[in-house]
Amino acid sequence: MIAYILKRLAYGAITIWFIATATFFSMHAVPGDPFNEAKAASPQLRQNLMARYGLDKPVTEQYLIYLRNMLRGDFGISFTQENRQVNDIIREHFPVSAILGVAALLIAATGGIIGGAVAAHWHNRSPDRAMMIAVVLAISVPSFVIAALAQMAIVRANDWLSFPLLPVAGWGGISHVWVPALVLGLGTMAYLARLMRSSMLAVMQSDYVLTARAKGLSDWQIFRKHQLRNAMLPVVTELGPTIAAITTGGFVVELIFAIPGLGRYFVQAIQQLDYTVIMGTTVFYGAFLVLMVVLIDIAYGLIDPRIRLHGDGR
Amino acid sequence: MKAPESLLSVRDLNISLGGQHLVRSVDLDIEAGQCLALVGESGSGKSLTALSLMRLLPRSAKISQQYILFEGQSLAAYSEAQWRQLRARRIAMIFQNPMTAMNPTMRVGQQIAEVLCLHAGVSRREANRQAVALLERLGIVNAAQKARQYPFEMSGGMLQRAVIAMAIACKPALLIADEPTTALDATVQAEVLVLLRELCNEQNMGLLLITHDLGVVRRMAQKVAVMYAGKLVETGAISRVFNTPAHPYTQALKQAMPSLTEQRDSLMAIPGTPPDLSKPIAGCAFAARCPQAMNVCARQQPADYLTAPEQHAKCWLWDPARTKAS
Amino acid sequence: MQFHADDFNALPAAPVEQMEALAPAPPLWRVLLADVRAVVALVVVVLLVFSAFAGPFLWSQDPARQWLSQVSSGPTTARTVAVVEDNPQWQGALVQAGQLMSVSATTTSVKLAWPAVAGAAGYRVYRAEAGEGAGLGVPLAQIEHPWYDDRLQLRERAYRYTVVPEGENELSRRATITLTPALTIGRFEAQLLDLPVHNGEVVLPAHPLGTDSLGRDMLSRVIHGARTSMLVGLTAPLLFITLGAFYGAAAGLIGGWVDNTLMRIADFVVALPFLLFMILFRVAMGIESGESGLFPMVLAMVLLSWPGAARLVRGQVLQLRGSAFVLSARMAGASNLYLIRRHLLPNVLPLLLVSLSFAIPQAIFTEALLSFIGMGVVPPTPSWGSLCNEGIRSMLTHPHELIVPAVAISIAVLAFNVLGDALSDAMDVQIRRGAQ
Repeated sequence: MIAYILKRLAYGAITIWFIATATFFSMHAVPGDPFNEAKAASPQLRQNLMARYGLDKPVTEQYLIYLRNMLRGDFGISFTQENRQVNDIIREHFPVSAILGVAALLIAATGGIIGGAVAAHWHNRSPDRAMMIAVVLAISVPSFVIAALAQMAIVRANDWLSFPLLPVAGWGGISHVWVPALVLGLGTMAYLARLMRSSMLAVMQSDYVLTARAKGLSDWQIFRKHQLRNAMLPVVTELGPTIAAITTGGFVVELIFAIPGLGRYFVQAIQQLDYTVIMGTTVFYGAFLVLMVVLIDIAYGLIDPRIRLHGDGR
Repeated sequence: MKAPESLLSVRDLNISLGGQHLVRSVDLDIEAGQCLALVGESGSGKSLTALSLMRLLPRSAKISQQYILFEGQSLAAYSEAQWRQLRARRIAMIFQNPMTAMNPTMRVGQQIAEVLCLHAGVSRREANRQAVALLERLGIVNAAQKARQYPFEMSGGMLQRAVIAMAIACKPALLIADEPTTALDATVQAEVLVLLRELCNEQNMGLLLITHDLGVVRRMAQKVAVMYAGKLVETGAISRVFNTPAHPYTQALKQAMPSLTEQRDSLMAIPGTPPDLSKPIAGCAFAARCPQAMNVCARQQPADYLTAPEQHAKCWLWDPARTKAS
Repeated sequence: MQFHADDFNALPAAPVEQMEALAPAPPLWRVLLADVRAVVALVVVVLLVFSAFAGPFLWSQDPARQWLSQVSSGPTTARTVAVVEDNPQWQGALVQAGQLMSVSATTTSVKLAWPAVAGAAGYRVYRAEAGEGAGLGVPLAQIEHPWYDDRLQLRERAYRYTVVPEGENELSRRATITLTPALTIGRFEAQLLDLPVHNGEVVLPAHPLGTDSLGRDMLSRVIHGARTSMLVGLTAPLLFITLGAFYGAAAGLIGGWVDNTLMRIADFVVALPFLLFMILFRVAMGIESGESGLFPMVLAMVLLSWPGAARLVRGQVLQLRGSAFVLSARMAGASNLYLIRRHLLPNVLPLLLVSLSFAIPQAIFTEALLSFIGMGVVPPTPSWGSLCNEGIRSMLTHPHELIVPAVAISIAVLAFNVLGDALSDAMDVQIRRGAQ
């Protein structure tokens, strides 16, 4: 198990290094430099700015400094908002995105697992059919459309009730979290529900469930002790890509609901070509996603004894 | 018919599933401490019959019987909750493939202990201790350590012992073993069979052994029932059925079995395929493949004839009218 | 029991059956065509692809042309409307109004006149949309004369005008009129759009899906948007699945440490986040924000999405390499090329087809999402995502501008998903039949 964890961590570290390097060199492949005439009025000022951001040194030296700074967790200073550390931006805005993302993931995982199990239990009967239609619809409608429709619904509901039931946008209390989180988690929930349903159906057909019935266990006991854990295994392996999807989806949801998260900040930075912020957040997001995948791999190892005991049994 | 002191008696058992009449008017009698072998090719309805004795059939299956008596009780009107009380406690079952019959993410010992916790009402710790003792009794060395392992860490033979341990944990009166040795290595097969035999004798347990291996039948069973296309075509004491098979199907099966004692040039395969069970069958189901078929066989179902003491067959060859005619 | 005389004679020889020849598994397309949802999805997919590429010839309206007189209108048919002068001088004083009345009501101008109220210092004119509750609406003007010429963004819908004389008892003396202006077009706009004028009238073309907030034809924009979406949605998956298939086949066929290394690389590529790399490519190619960047999008998809197909094909190759029938074919002297053509391709192609049909909606989604946040296709170039981006701004007043492109995306994604489901189900059927 320890060897397994170490192996995963090493993979993760290599991936993060690759992302950081790719980011650095693609930024340097940009023709010209970030301080053109519009930003730096005189050649002298431009020189000063270049020196300030360390852009006057040779590329290899810049790369080494960059890597050293990364290792120390220092992402530099924003290009557009001077005197603002990228670290501060991340520290300020990431928790907002994290709260939203975790809420979305919880909603998606709980809803998906319960929905899939319900559909499998009533296989080919009306709850299953209804669930599958809902799933197909949720998978087919883009998240930004769902977000817009949700906002529209809130506006109409508030109008109709003539008092604000829910805030339309913004960030603050718990009431600001759950509609965006639900919108963000909906597609993932549908995907997980579908996965859970098919894995549950496979488990229900399995011999060990028949054995469990032959032991005289009740349906609920069989579900809890024998079906759930086994049916959840494929769902857990899919959580890694799921977190990536929720992170990406978060950019849009934050934009639409005007939530001051890192995703919205990131999109803005791209639109303003704020190189240090783009680089910093890219590497940060990359590291975050890789870390999540590693954590999920480890969690999977804990649930599946075949991996826990042998490193890889798949 | 059999005396009522049987451990289990079923009369006129019918099962249909998905529009197919898969088990047709089956009568079974199993006595305590004895082994009844149910023989037939795959798809003949053996496993379905076995599952029905524990009411483990798929939800969509339709089942009916004239009566089902177990230890003097009628089970026909039992509720699901009552059946659950019966399962593993009084009637237990062993499945064909031990590799898939065990939950892959649960320790073997725990899976055995689960039965004890549920039915014997003992504490988890005590159940674990008993599980280890059971594994030891079944000849597993280092049982305490093995009990902590997961199914994928064990060999097939060892797993089948664990499955047997799970089945006999509550000392059931009837054990149903559905092809218990088919998935195992030949060397392990014998050990498992010997074990089952010992357990029957020791605990005076009835054994319903389902198999398509006539060699296993000869070694294990006192009585045998031969099933074809959902019907019992011949039943009787083992020596009778093996030495003087009365039904042409049994005769053909015997021909198809390799033998060490008789010199034979080639094994006989039975020509043709079993009938389509989604349509009603007018006469004898075997008529189309039977070398001795007569006109009546295609038209009318044969009755059950006593062909010798302790031997019955459903075949027109044994009809007294024919004996007279010839 | 009654017996016939011949009952115990031997059964005529005929019914001894021979072992039935196993029916071969039906071809995939036949299984697929037996499935209703597959057929429906297939028809939708064909229609979508067809309309994306032939649509502009069938519906020839220019997606960039602005019909200013019909901004944000719902669906309309072709119609003949009057051309009116843009800036006529109108003196309401000439009208003798007995009550609040409209002298003329067109979408160019609504001319109102009402009797002068004694003692009133002036009049305030309000306009509300008739459906919008009981309020007075937008204040239009505060005037001294008893007439008003409204030229403020008039549309073809019911308005409620309220005239309030200033002074005492304002509210009790107000007058209300509800009217729907007739659609007209100003001479200037008619010239701008280059529409031929006959007898002072022009023919405005139909807008079956209405127009957007800049008066552009939605149907034509959705069709042109489909071109972008389908282009990305079809090319990227085709490219990365082909790439992955060759990569996986190479890994599986060569085997050994090469296989090991190649698959390690694939594992590693899976971990790279797509969006970040797409942005990197954009930046590296010097694409400014606000510029369309389809190429980096497709490039990022191709470079990062191939490992799935590679794993699939490698798995199949390994499975086939170990299978008995390939071994026996080899012993019979079959060449590698023959084995690939005869055994590998027929097994792998349907699987690739299934992954393709699931990759396409994914790519359509990604394009829409990126265009929506302004990192793919950027307005005014239409793509379904950028249409949604524009539509969302006027979502509360004119929801059709968002809903039309959103429905287009959903139908396309749904069709491809359903097709993928049906395809994999059909393959299951085939495998099961084949195994029997």
